[in-house]
Amino acid sequence: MLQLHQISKTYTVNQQLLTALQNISLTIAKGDIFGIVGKSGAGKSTLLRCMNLLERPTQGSVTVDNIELTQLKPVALNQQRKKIGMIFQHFNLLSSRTVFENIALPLEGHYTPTEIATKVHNLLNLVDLEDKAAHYPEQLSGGQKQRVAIARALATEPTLLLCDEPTSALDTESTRNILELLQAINRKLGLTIVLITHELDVVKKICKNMAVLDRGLLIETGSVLEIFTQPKSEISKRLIRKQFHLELPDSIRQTIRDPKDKLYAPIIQLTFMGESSKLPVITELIQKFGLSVNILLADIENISDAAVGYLVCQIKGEEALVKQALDYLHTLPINIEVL
Amino acid sequence: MQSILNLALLQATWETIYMVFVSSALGILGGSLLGILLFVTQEPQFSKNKLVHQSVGTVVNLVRSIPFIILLISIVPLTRLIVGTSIGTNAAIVPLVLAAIPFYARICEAALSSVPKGLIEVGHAMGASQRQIITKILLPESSAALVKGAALTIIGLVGYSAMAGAIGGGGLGELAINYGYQRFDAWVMVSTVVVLLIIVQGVQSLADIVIKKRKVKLALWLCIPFALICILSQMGSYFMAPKNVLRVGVMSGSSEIIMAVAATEAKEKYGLTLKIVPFSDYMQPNMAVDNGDIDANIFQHKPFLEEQLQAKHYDIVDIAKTFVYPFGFYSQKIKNISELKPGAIIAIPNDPSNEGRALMLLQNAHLIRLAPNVTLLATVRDIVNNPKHLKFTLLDGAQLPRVLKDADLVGINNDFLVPAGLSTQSAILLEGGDSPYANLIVVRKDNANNLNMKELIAVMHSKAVVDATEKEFDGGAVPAW
Repeated sequence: MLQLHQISKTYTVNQQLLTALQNISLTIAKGDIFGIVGKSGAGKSTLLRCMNLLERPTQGSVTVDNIELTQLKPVALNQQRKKIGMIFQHFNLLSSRTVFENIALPLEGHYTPTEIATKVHNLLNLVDLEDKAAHYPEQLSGGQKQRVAIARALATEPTLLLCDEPTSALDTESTRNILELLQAINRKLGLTIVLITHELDVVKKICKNMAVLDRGLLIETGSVLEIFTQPKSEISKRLIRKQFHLELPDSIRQTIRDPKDKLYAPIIQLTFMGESSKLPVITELIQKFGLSVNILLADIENISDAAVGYLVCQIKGEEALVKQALDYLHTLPINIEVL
Repeated sequence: MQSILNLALLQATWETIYMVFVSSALGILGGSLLGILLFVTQEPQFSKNKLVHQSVGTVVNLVRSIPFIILLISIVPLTRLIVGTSIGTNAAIVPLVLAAIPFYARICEAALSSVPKGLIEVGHAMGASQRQIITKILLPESSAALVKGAALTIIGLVGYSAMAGAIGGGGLGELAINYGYQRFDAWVMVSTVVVLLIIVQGVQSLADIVIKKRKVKLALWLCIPFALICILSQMGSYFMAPKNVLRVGVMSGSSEIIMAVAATEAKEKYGLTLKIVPFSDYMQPNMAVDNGDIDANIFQHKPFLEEQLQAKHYDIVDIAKTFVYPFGFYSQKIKNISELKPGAIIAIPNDPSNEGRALMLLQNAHLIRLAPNVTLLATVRDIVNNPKHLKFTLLDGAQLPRVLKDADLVGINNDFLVPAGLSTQSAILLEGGDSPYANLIVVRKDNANNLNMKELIAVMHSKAVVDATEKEFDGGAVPAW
């Protein structure tokens, strides 16, 4: 569906060269909901804008639906852009137009007024805003505005929808609504969705695959489940720990680390998923290896329709025994990490 | 008299509305285009082009920094090229448009710049062309600012149109200056200001309603019938123009009243239509005769004409004299010239020929002595002997009657006497009948022997005109033929 091939983007600001994106290659499959996460300033927004060439990459190629956008002349590019919808954090609705007219905007000039009316009413139906057709954006709530924006983005029947922090300006309730709507249109229309966000929660809720971006570099890509349960890079690990509040407060760390204690006492994080959650890991640590286990944190998260359990605990015992226990744990289908 | 003025008020109101409407429409249209150009050449999401942006910006700033009255006079050749004449209401529209375009261009540029950049992104993301982004997103989104700016421009042009009198453009501003200010007619002054207030208030309220009700498109459509009315009104005066016509330029004020009598006389005796073109500036009438915008003018005396001929090399000539309007000095502080104290303040006209005329009169009264070689164009710098240490203040001719309370002795042109409630009888010093300052009828050389010109002379020397002049000037005008 979408291929980015060795995308780089540099800016010159005050005669200084700034690198926003560095050599990014990415493939997004048809029908996917793909999330790109990263801290602010990581280059997410620039990367998203490279996908419809709102930002033209300094190097590399962008291919959507087997058409290489980076090769197109302006007129052909505009034609191709009609197949790529886009929504924004701040909705970007036209304040001078009603809801109906906002949605009709991309259709004007291409269809008769009757056709436009039919299409707009279908879209209003889809986003559940039929009763707001004659309202102006200023009369709508944030969530409603984003629905209008989604309807407008869908008006030209795109195959790809780019979402720029679509829920960052919304409250929890509206966020859920919008994410459900995106999921619904992904299912109903088979639309490929790419969204960028700094909230991992959004990715966790609706994305199938994801990428982690940091300082213009693509750190990691994979299925959401994969990255959430077996993150490879330190950046991803940190992001996830932060997201699930698995970070131990420093005060606790201080309390449980006794420097006079001769025993080895590492803190480990175990991640269970599916069948592995049946394993009696704690019991085995105590019985098989004679270790003492101090459970510090535990949580269950729903990720891509799978239940994922997180457990942070401190194990304590003779160093050799602890090492044996860790080796044993590595043989099990769970993810362990020594913090 | 009152009914004539009512009619004049009505006509002036229409002239103002016509001038302001046409010039705002063209100015806002042109300004929008220029504003869009300024915007797209500085916006990275469009066609950023520093060179074009800066050069257009410089031209805009240049035109904006020219005072309107200077612009009005200095673009006369351009005006003639566009509307075929440099005088009249249509001629006034050209400089008004030229003043409005750069003003509105900046308003438009600022309005477009204030549209959130995200909306431009929306347009690009939709695959809209630059033109579509401008017409479908930027202009509608900035419509409130554009309408507010349009109101600002229109109201500004109402003010500028008052200066159109300098080129015979007419309008309320001219009426207020000529009748209200120069002739002390409070009724005219007040009523023109009231009408102007209604126009300004109306424009502002209309703009507010249009913004509030989001009816910009409707407002634009309503301009079309109005434009048609304007075009029709012009065609009407074009087709209904009578055949046997002489356009005669005079100074606005008393001369206009006398010329109204002359026009009646000409119509009755010779079937000749005199079209009176009032000016409020001494430079324009000769230029207008020379370039054919008018056929004759009656406002100047020989020294002034000679000075103009020398400076401008016009192809014009005087064919007859009309009246001498003796120049005099007046005072509210002294009864006799001998009472004049040392260091007294003397106010005199500031145009070269009348300044000289005033100084010559003072020299004849032995109050000062001028350098021997200077003649009719003496200035205060030519005074070589000033035994009473008189202090001279130079003022606009129409302003002079108003300083009688402040100056000890005021030199006043006859034009401004009667309106100020003065007459030559109360003069402290007055020119004799042998004055070289008789008013002249001036025409283009190739027209000098025209039959119509002979008729014009006869009309100006007719009993009716002489009676009217004597009445108007309260005996302060003496036939000079």
